[in-house]
Amino acid sequence: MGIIDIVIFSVIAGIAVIAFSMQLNAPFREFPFIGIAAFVTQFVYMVAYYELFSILYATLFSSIFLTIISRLLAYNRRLPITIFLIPGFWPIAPGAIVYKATLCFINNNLLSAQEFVLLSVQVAGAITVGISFVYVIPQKFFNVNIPLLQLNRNGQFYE
Amino acid sequence: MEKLEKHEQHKELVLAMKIGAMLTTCGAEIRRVETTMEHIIQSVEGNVAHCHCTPGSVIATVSYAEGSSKTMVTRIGTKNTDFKKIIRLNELSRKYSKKDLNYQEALEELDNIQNMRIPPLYLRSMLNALSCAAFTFLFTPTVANVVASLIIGFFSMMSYEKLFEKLPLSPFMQTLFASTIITTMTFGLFELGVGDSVNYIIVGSITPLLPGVETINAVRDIVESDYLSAVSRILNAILLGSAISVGVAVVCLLVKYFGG
Repeated sequence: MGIIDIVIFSVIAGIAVIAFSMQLNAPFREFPFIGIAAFVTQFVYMVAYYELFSILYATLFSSIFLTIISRLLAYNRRLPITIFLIPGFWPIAPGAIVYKATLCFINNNLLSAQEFVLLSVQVAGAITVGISFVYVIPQKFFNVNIPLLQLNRNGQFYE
Repeated sequence: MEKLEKHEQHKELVLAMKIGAMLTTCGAEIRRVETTMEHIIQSVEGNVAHCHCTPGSVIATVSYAEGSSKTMVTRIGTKNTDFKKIIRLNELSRKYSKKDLNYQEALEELDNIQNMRIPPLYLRSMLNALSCAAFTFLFTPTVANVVASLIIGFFSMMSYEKLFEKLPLSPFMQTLFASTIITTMTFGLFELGVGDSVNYIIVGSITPLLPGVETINAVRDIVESDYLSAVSRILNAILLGSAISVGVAVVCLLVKYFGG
């Protein structure tokens, strides 16, 4: 898969997450920034996956980048990090793996089902480690003013 | 709570409880709820606040300067993630702490936030259709599957939201029914010749049902050492994930049994 394909997939992930965040009643003015968080997450996931051929590493790196971009956006947009972190998580959620595990159970293929269940637990663990890894870094390291991310903002930053 | 509201001394406690309960309902993480409540109560000089929050309840104790103390407990009902409410509650608490708002104005603002409208069902269904189609594209980028997901995303949400309006169910049962409806629609459309990969259409269409808010908040609670609420949220996420699996599995088994 070429870089153009990865960019297209990442843009689609951004659109999916924007549409989804509208259902969570996210503010209209934050949609482009939620889309950026999802784009970065999917882009890092796909690049890491096609370079390392590991779902675990891809999830780990993408969740690290998602948390970094969410913390930067939270500071620059003067909003709680939740607004960017939660929707950005959706492209890397292990939904397909859980579905495959269910299918294997139905087909009485217990060995494969067990593997998929373990993989989904590992992916969830990778997301946890990725978010925790960035989350323990003090906020002052993310207090970087990026003018592009401050367009059309209001409010005041509360850590 | 109404009785306490009449006492001048307890008004910060009452306001903090109302805001804390609403924040928890809207999907805020535990640390945010606790610090917000403490900010409000301690906005009065001499007050010392101790707040404890779990996904199911909010507890706050305030020790007043003259030596007395008061504790309140509120039970949290149905949760409904709403980012706009979180943002406005956050701003409200900070303005109140800085004395930019008085008690009456804060209560009025709280009422406004409580009565904020959510988008209408048809719009939410259209957005759900768009996100389902986009997620399906990520798994299998073919026009037929994307169109199938668009149709399923729109009509499934219209049907299960209408059903839940008339039939109040627990979140577990709601998720189970929703995934059952999605899977049934997918097989129905596939029989009609729309879509070429049942598996990926189902995966794309159930993605918006995944318990992402609970999972992310659980991770954040672990990082903040709020293990009680983290365990509660993880359990909730596992239950909702299982409900999705069971909903899909039941329909797949029926289709398999009847030779689909």
